[in-house]
Amino acid sequence: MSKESLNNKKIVAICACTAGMAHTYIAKQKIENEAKKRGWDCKVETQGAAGIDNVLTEQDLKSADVILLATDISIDNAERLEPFKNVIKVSTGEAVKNTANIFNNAEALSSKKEVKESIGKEIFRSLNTGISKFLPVIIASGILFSIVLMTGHVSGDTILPSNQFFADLQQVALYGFAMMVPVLAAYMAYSIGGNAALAPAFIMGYVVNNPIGSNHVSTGFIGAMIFGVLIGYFVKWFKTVKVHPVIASVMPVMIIPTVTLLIMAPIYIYGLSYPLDWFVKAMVETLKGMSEVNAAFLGIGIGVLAALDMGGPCSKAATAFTLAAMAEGVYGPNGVFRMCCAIPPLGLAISSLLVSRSKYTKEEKEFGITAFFLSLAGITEGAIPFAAKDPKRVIIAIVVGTAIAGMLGMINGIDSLVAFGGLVALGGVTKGALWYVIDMFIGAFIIAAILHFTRKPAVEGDVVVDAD
Amino acid sequence: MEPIPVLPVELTSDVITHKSSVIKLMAEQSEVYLTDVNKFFVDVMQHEQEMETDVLPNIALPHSKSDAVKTPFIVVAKYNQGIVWNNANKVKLVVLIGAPKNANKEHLTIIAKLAANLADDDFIEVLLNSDIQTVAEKIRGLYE
Repeated sequence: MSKESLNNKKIVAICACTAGMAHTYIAKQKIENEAKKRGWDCKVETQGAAGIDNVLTEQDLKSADVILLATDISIDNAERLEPFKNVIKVSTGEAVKNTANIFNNAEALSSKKEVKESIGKEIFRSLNTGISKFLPVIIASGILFSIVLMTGHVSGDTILPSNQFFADLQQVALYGFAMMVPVLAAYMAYSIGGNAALAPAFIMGYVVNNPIGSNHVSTGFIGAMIFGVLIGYFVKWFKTVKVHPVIASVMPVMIIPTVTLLIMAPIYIYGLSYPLDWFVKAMVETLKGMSEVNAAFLGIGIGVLAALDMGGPCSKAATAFTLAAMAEGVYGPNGVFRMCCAIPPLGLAISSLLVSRSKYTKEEKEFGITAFFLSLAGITEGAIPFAAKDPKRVIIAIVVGTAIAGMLGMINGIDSLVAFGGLVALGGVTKGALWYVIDMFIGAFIIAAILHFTRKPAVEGDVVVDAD
Repeated sequence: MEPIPVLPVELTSDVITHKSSVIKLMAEQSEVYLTDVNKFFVDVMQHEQEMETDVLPNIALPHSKSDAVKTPFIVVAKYNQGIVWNNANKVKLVVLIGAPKNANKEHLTIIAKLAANLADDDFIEVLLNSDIQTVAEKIRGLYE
């Protein structure tokens, strides 16, 4: 049986122009005419002044050989295109004038589609999707949290909210923080496995972030990333299993989520949680060992861990260590660590907004503003969007800058009584408050300086690929 | 619902030197549908800055959703020697479309239908070979 006779090529398109009156609809018609001429299947969504018509479903996008964006403005619901690589982007004007050429490119692109995306790239994209969804969760929660800290007063080893309203706000922020790990896991899995992966990954994200099993292990970000990817691939495979039509209709809502959880939860609880937990504990031991050598060395260790994974298990190990030290009445490591938490996002904010503006895209500068606000509350995760795009240079820069600041911090003797970081926790710094600020900025400027020399100039790029 | 009026405008050779003078003349002829001719003209020219409207062969489609428009309307004008539009591109037929900011969906759907028909090169050919009164009738004929 010849393949061509059965499988028509399929092109789907979205058209949108500035006024939404003319170009959108001419482009739609031109695309439909050209598709008809070539015997391609075709569906065109229009986002015009008359509203959004003929909406492309997930099924449409998945079944298409080529996705054509003929747009002059940003479109509604653009996220749904994120998982797709076979996208051609043109203006509506080009779609009208050069329809035939665009289809030639589309044909070339669709024959290349057989080449599978490498697993590395797929995981990287899944991480990007996860980060883009969980960032707003941290930002909103982080800002609420900062407001509470800024208006609160220090008492003992904590900052107390100044009244019931702020206490409630703090609770909201804490619940918000509790959402960020599940959201990361869920959307990483979604990026690989589609909608059916969302529910099991949300639940597993919550599981890995909370104590479970006889040892009450919790593995936070690293667990979430591993299970986001595992669940994504598992569901992707699961969807290809042929089942009876009666069962097929309940696959995505019942069978896939339930079976996925029944398999993934035991793998985590009885399997992977142990090595992950061991890793965190080993880090704590290492820090203890460093503290016995000397203070400067310990400062370097704290700085490295605070920056290395930006709020992941290494940071968690440092937290565990500094809290343990606080329990013994030693407040230095806590003070230094809380300062260090703020340095990576602050350094990247300074780099992207002040020192090396030309080396960042517009989007990255927006990340810079967010990173600045997150650094105020010591939320290291603010650096993640930069690290995700350029891991080698960014991670080296933030580790070096933060480690130096950590060393200086230990030498200068910073004590903090509170288990929060950033400038908003300055009220809890009982010794060396000025150094807390100075060392923080030294670290941040070192990061900016390193990036200034190592980063290449920004290339304003789209998420989509052109055909040639 | 009132159908969208289609107004033919005769061009004389003294106004065809530049696209802005053509648009200006067409806007003036559409006075009854406008609250402010000048504001509408400015809005159309503004949109011209954002988008090329001469993407079809020999036709330019200047348009604007503007609060200077009372009710939607279409004006057509033709000059067979060509009007210089963007850069060196010349057009023979100009179809100017105005719609108010809060235009209703039916009107916008009619305009979308006109746009879709202009994607057909044969239809364009018919328009280019007709006099301006016939062009207006043909466009009216699309939705009447």
